[in-house]
Amino acid sequence: MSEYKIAATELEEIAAAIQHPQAFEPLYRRHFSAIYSYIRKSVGNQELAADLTSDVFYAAMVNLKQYKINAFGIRPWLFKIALNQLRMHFRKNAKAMHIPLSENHLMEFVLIDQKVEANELRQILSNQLSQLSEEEQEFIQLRFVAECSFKELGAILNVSEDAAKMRMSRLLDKLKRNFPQSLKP
Amino acid sequence: MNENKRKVEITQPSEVDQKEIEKAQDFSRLITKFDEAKKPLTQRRLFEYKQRWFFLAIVIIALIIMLLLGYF
Repeated sequence: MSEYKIAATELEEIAAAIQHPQAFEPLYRRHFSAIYSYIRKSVGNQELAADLTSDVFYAAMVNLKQYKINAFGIRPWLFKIALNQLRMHFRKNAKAMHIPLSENHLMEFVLIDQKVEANELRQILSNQLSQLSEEEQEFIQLRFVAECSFKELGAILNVSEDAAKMRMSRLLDKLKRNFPQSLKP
Repeated sequence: MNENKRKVEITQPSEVDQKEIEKAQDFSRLITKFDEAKKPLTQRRLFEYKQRWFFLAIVIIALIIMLLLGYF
């Protein structure tokens, strides 16, 4: 019920913003923090993150007519735009994409009993994730950095929630399989 | 198939500061950008724009001529 209410309010805001760009402000204020944090963590630079986030919302504002109304609201659509902006940025600048991971998150990537130091694990995972395709890296990033739910991930990637869960599970298995032999139990 | 191997760096997690978010969250910046985009092209940019299309047209015409002459 509350989800429906939010969607109805958002719908009104979108309709208003299509008519007048100034009316985009409530949408901008509501979603800025999530998009900015995601970009900031990915690029690791404050000014660059502010510029890229501004580009994301500008693209959203001028292309708002193209947004297709769905049950998830505008958030997944904004993440899709952010994903494209980041993709363009990394292709142009050839810099490393940051994926900040806590120790708890790190343990989701490994299948080992023995203790490996978090920094060592970060180094191993950096090498492993660098071998993945762009799409796979982005999938991990959206899940662990943007903390998107599987429902949202499905909406961003145009797949069902179950398919998103399955894809993540396969990806984690693939990483575990490729974990250095010396660190396997 | 995507052959691109983008470098990834796993970093220490850090929360983005609320003050930093507030500083970056300037809606007027977006409106200024929007207004700027609506302005007509300046003479210089208009020249560059026309120049780009001119060269593109020459390349396309050259390709058509080469195709017609059976060059390929």
